[in-house]
Amino acid sequence: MAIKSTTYRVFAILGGLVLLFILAPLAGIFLKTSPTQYFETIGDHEVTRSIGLTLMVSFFTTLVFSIGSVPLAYMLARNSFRGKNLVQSLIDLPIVIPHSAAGIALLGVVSRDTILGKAAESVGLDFVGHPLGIGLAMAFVSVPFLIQSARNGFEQVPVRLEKAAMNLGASGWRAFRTISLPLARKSILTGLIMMFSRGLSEFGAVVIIAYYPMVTPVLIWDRFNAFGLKYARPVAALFILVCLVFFVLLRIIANKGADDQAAKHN
Amino acid sequence: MIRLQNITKRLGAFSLTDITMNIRQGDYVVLLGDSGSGKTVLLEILAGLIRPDQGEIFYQDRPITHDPIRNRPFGIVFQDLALFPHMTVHENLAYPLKSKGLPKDEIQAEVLSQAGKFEITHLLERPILGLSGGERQRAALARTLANNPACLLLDEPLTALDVRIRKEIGSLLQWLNRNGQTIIHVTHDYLEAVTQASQIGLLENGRLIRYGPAGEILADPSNPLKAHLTDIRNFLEVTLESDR
Repeated sequence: MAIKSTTYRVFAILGGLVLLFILAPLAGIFLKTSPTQYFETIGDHEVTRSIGLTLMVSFFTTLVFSIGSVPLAYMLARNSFRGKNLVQSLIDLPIVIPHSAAGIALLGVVSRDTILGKAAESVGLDFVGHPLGIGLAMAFVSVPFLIQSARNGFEQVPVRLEKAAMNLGASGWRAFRTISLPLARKSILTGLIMMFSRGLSEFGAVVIIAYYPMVTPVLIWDRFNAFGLKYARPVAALFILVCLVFFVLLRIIANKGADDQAAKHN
Repeated sequence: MIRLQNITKRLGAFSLTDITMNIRQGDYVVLLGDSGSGKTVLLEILAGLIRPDQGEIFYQDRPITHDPIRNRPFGIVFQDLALFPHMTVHENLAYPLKSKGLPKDEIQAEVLSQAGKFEITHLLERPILGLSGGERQRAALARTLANNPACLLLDEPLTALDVRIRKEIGSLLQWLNRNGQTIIHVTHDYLEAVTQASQIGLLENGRLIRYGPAGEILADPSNPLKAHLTDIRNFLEVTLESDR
């Protein structure tokens, strides 16, 4: 018992240091920002416009990409095929490569001199410097979170339930819509929130594709470069608060999902 | 009514080989065999969950081997019942009826009829997760029969139940069969074959080694598999003339 207590104390100290490392910069940014600065920042139209743009683009990007990502996650969960591991590694690739490199890679596909860029230009669209380009940059680095989470969710749904549904006269689509989708909904929802949150915070890929209009991470960088830490910090503090709201939401939903799973097995 | 002709399926090291059998309307067929003998595979081939490598399945002389799962005349009750855990009993029973696109009032009438038949009316608004083993078994049977299958496929339907519930469900299955429901029931329990079957098929290592009327199969002392499955016990047929 004495050994266990000592181990626990050492672990508590080590764990506490890591927690302190995470909390200290966040606490610092909030404590060093006065209430007046918060109010001034909230009243700064450039900041609120930027936060609004970031939220909106990330939201619609998540929504649009979910249309293809959820079916892809389902296919990956249900099918075994040659090269499946390779496909899964490719999907995860944007998470592990530097995001500025991801931005450069994406620019090679959507810039004006590419096939996609020219096709978009012919209908009056230009991805570069446009919310559409921002959305693509956000999606490139955040969609793996949705696919992974949804795939895990579908893997938890017994195939037998889908087969039972089809034996009871359901089409493949009805079995997916009424059985697989609702039973995997917690994981899909978690994936959607993760993708949305990750999109909100993306800087590296977005700044390559679209410096303007400025999403908040770019605005923070811009203010830091142009005016210094004092002017960048209130924007950063306000944006972190916005991100925290979504993070807390994510944790609540994920915990509720875990509780439901536990209840199912009790 | 249902004819299996030379059904063969290879699954890794196991293979189901050359299964041929005829099932008549109103038969209660028990497929008896040890674990790994191929009982469940055969049931899933009938239901269309697994495609055979060779052979044909006929229903009313029409080949249905390649028909999609939902167009087959079979209703399967899996060993784990596969009730939909996110739905109530009512929603489970209504599921096949909604798949057919029936109007709401017809769905409600059919759900109530099936629930009444299986004595689960009082459970209709309950979630699946709160039901006992016997209640779940009844709900699964009611849901499958709501789809009005020509033949009911049962995968070890009595195995996980305690003695009292096992008797209840066994009687319920016999009652269904007496009312004309064709049943194919797979089990490793010889006693279930003795009490339930009108026809028995003995499966060993993926082969149907005997198939015929229950009386003939049970009376045949020559089969070593039978001795194994019965644990070398004797069963005597008796007629109860009075309960005193």
